Amino acid sequence: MKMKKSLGKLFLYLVLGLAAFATIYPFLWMVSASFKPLKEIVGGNMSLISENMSLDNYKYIFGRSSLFPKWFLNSFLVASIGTAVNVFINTMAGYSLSRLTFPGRDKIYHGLLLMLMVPSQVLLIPNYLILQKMGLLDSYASLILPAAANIGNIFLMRQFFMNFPKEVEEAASIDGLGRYARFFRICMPLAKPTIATQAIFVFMGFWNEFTKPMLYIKTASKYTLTLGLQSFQTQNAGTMWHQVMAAACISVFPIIIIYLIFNKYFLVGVRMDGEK
Amino acid sequence: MEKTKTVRRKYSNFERKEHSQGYLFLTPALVILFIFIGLSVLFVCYLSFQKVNLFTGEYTFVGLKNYQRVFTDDVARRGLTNTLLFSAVVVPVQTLFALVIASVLNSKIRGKYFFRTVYFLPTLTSSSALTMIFMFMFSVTGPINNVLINMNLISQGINFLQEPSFALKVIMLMNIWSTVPMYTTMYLASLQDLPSSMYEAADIDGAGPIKRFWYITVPYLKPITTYVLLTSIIGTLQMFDQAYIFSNGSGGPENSTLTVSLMIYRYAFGTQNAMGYAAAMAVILAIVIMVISRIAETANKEERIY
Amino acid sequence: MKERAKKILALAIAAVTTVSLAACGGGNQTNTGDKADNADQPAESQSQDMSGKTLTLGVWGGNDQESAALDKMISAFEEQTGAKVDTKVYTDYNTQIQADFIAKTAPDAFYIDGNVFPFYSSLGVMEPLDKEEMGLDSYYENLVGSFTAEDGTVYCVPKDVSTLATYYNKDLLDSVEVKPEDIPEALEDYKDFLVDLQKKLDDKYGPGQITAMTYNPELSREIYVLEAGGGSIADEEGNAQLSSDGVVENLEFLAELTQAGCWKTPQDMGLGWNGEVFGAGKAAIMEEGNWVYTTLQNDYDVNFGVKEMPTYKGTQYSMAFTVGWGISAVTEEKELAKEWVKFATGTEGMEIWCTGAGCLPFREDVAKKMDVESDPVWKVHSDMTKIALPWQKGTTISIIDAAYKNFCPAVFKGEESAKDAMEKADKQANSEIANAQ
Repeated sequence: MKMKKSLGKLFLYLVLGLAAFATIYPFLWMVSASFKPLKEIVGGNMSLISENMSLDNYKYIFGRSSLFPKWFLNSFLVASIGTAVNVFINTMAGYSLSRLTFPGRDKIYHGLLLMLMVPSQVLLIPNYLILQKMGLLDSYASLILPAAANIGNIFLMRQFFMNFPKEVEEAASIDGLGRYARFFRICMPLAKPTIATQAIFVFMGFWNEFTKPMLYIKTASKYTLTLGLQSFQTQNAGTMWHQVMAAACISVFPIIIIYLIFNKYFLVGVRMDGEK
Repeated sequence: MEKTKTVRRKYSNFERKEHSQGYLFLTPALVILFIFIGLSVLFVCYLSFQKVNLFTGEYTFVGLKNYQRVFTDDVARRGLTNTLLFSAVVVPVQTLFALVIASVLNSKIRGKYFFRTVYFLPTLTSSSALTMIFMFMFSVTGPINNVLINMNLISQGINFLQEPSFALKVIMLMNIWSTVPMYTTMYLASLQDLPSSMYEAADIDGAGPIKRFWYITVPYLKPITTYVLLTSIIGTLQMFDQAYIFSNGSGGPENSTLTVSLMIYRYAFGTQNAMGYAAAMAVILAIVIMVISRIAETANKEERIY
Repeated sequence: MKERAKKILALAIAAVTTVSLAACGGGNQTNTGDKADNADQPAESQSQDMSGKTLTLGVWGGNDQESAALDKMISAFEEQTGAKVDTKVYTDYNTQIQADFIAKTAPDAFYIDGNVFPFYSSLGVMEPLDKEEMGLDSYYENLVGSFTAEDGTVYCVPKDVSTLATYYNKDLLDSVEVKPEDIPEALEDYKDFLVDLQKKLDDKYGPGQITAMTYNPELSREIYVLEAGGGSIADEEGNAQLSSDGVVENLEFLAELTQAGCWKTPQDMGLGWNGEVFGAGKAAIMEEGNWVYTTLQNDYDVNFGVKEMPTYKGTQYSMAFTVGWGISAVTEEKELAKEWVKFATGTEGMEIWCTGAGCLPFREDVAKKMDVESDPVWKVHSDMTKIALPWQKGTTISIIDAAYKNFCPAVFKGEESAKDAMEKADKQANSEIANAQ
């Protein structure tokens, strides 16, 4: 019995390890390629270490434009404001759609889902025209406002609150807390792990968003980091992989920091039967 | 879930208060979504009944002509078949993997923090880097072929990406690989709220890990599974990027990687002023997605645990 | 409940009509505005003071040399006119420029690819240009046609041109004792030569590791072979006729090369394009445009040579890829935009551009002045300009090309006859063209 159990464990770790390798390898390869010259990447050498590694690609990218710090700041600003707004709007909407009863609730819910089902390719031009009519083109608002609510995350929060024990709220209600106080002081804090998950994905969504800034932003000083990095791309002579990889690493770095910060929340979490 | 009653009745004061609170909580989201997505969706529906040149602003009402053409279009049927096949493979595999990985990572194993962070990395790997790695790995002289040749399974390298019978499968693999981590993270977040008393009770009953997974974890995660299933269905049925990159926009070889979204893009941004036709296809795709989502939602009918 | 549903529907319809009416209204207004403009404004004096005005240019990203050359041109222009110039860099040109044209937010002057010119010139989004005012007589004749619409109106002034030439890896050829002069003059002789070369390469480096030659299975590279002998891949109305006899016969000829195993795509080699395969030393020969020259020198260390394109059916061919400057029909800075285009494509601007960016001048006078002949690589590409076929064919070419890319691999692998596969391609392309009507 014990033998069988430890064999099972061994097998489990083996699978986990293999999966970890399959996941981490492309990421490491990306990091490694960002230090290599183009000819070596293209040469098909899959090893992660090479004697030709240097900081040249990074030097090149940072030297390409003096606007770099500005782009970084723009991205950070747009993503932070966007995430903060999203977390409140989505959580409130998700709460409303699952915990409150009112006429037309399920119709609204299905209507929202339906919007998600229309492929984005046909929405690009209409969206562009709407922003133009509102006079929002070439502004940060054009990046934040249209994405200030996210159907997918409203849906996620709705599903989360379905699992959320009603008793907790009922107890607070007996204590005399009103609906708003209960939402902001009980529900939101208890939803931390899911809100943290939502926040990291919303933040990443804003940070990596390419189509919106590409279409809406015209002035170079208002570029986001993704767009700025993309504007270095040559259109006619193939992909400059070495620079692309360095650019990818530069833009992924802040996300890793954010992830590590939020990590605390979605790994430990606040247990229902634990604190608070 | 309770269906809203269509029977008119008087609401109590308490109920009315809850109604207004419900609307109030929803208002910000609804306003934004209506202006920035809803209007565009309505506009697309309107366009689907038109022959339109957006550049000159000429609109001609053509009734159902665009829709009729979609239904008689063999290529569109092929695109839809590919898309459905893609979704039918990717959605269950993705969901199952995410569910299993999340529950393993939530159990008492060593190094789970390490694994959790590592498994999150694919979401951070740039998609162009991914494409290049996959292109190289599956090329004629690439590592996959080398392994297969060394194992004497094949005698000559297969060009997976140019072979109609393989191209879509490689894209499936890449899609699964890059989306499982996202769903795993969501499952993990929800598992943090699972009262450990439920597992403890199961331990006392002597339930093994597989039983615990099946009778506690899976039912508990049902609402999140609904979320995963639906977003994954929507995402796969709208698959565009990878098909576009791998086939150079053609959907080839022999339409094997042609997806509906790829066709929509080609009509919408081609040099033929075919926005009306693209809109009709988009509306049809949305309806297909809706039907499939409803089926999945019903099949995964969640019962409230509390 | 019903009342409410009606209300919502009414609201939705109102919203839709507002949006669509606004779109229509915008279109009409600007159109009439245009005509008025043209009537009131006869050609103004040339070198007026433009200070205080701002011009926006729509360009796509280039390599370092190209960006530097563009900056240099802009400062020279700003100095001469006193105007300020902004650039908008397109990262996904096709999507962005369409959105810009539809919403009337296009920059004052912008790049237009010769390949999509027939489409954009048919939409009334570009300002018609006066041939004499723009000095179009000085350009290579076979290429000015690329920017002339069907009715004879010119909408763009050529900015530069790239042509295909044959690149060979000297060291690789040397290592298997093949001389560059051995590369045949006629495409008909390629098969024997390449099969022999492939065998030598396989013996030396292992089977399949290095390919004798790479090719691209797409019309922009193969149309000159496919149409050789008088065939055409599309009829007068723009419908595909890839399965017409002449085209099929030529395709069969190409398929023999691939089936001999000495002609591979970059994707076969696990890479994205010819330049990478060649740069990595995995191909001995390729046909590429002059854009590959800079990257081969800067990013790779291959020892390469360049020679003219081969003949096929007795005629030497190459492809020309052209880009021009167009002016927005709704710009408020029409005169300034014209000044810019004249400057950029005039002797001074073009010299700055072509010397700096490393590309071929479009005008014979500038070509002479720049002495392109002195660089052997440039000389070959420049010689190709006169005989090259511009990559352009009506508004349906992108659809036909997609269908070709879709169905030609089966022919090249020998799994299907050229006739059958091209019939499928025609059927698909023509149904796509019909759907769009």
